[in-house]
Amino acid sequence: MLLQGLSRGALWAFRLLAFAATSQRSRKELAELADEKLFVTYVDGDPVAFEVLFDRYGPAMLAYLQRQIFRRDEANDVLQDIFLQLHRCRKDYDPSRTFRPWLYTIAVNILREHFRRIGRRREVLQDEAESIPSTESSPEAAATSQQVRNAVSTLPPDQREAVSLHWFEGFTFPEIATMVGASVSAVKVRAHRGYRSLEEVLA
Amino acid sequence: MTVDDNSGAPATGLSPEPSSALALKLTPQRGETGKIDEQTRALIFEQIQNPRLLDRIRSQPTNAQHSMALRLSMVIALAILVALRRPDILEYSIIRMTIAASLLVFAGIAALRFAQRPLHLPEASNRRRLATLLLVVAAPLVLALLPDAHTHDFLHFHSSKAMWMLAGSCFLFGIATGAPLLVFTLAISPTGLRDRRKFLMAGLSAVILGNFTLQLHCPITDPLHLLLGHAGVLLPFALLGFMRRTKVIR
Repeated sequence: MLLQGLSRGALWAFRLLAFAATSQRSRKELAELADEKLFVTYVDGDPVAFEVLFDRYGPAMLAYLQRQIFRRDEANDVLQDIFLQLHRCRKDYDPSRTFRPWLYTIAVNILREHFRRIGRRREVLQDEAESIPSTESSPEAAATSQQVRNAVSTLPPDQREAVSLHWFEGFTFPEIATMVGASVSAVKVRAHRGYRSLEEVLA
Repeated sequence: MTVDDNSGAPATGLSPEPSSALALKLTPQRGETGKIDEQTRALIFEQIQNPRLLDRIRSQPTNAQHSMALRLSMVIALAILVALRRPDILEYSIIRMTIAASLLVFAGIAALRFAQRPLHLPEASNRRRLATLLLVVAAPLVLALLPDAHTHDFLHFHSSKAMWMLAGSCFLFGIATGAPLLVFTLAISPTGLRDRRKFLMAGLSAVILGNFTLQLHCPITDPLHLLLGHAGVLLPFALLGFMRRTKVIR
């Protein structure tokens, strides 16, 4: 009886180990996939693919949000919303399109809607820019980072959007134009004005 | 050099890049990442892994959501046509009915597409938004002000009390038949009540459905009645939109 119980326990332990090894391997394999294939894998029903995507884009997305939203809890809420909407939009995804601009288009729309919602409160929130601790290691770097964050916060929303997407996120102007629904030249003008304003503020 | 942001004019002579001094200051922040706390991560995955019924509908492709809203509108219109159609439907001018139906269907689809615009597409331009808004507001008003198509003697009002009572009942009928579409559109919208612009367009699509059902139901063609009882359905939905805008409704 005892032997039978032990062998049954060993069998379950073996199954558990085998399952853990398989899921680990599959996670590793998934981590090597390109964004587009990874998202298609998720749409096809593999939930681990979404976790890999979240680990790949979550931290960068949070930094993008924290450059524009100055309260940690609000930035976290918007981050949640973005990934939830990414999940809800998954069946609309066209694999021939690049994933990253697609994700950032969702982020841009949710961020705009967030700003429309908080409306007049934004001026107040700008004073709370100190509330997000910087991740920089040295105090000088942290101070510069905070200075840049404060300077970016003084820009009008459309200029801040163009500068953030172009400089900090590394999108090209045609990509930004597609994401924000404006012409390439309009986006270039916004970026130009944003950079000139930042030069004045950071001089 | 002044260039209008929205003009789309070529940005000749402008440098959309930071100066080297500014680039030096901004470079360390490039590629910066944030630290996601475990609670935020857990909340996201909990919502995704344990979806409610509405979440499942909200996760349908945009085309399927459009189709669901259109099917609901068709079911309501068909029910009115079968059970509560206007008594003069066979005598009513087919041309007038076609014009009215086409205008309302066109305006309704425009409003619905706006209300159900997915988040992975860039926002519609202000010009397009304004054009849709004008079309949807103008459609019931234009139909009310068109010359009478068909008027029987019994449709003339003999007292102002009768006029107000009939206008009131049409007004309530329009709201009752339009409201299910508003509720449904908001329920399946990914952003629900939060997005004021989509809220407004969902309300206007309900107005159009209400006017469409009234077109199928009400035989009165008096312009004043049409203005008050039919186009007047715009008012409560506009009031809802205003209350949402001024944050009376959160």
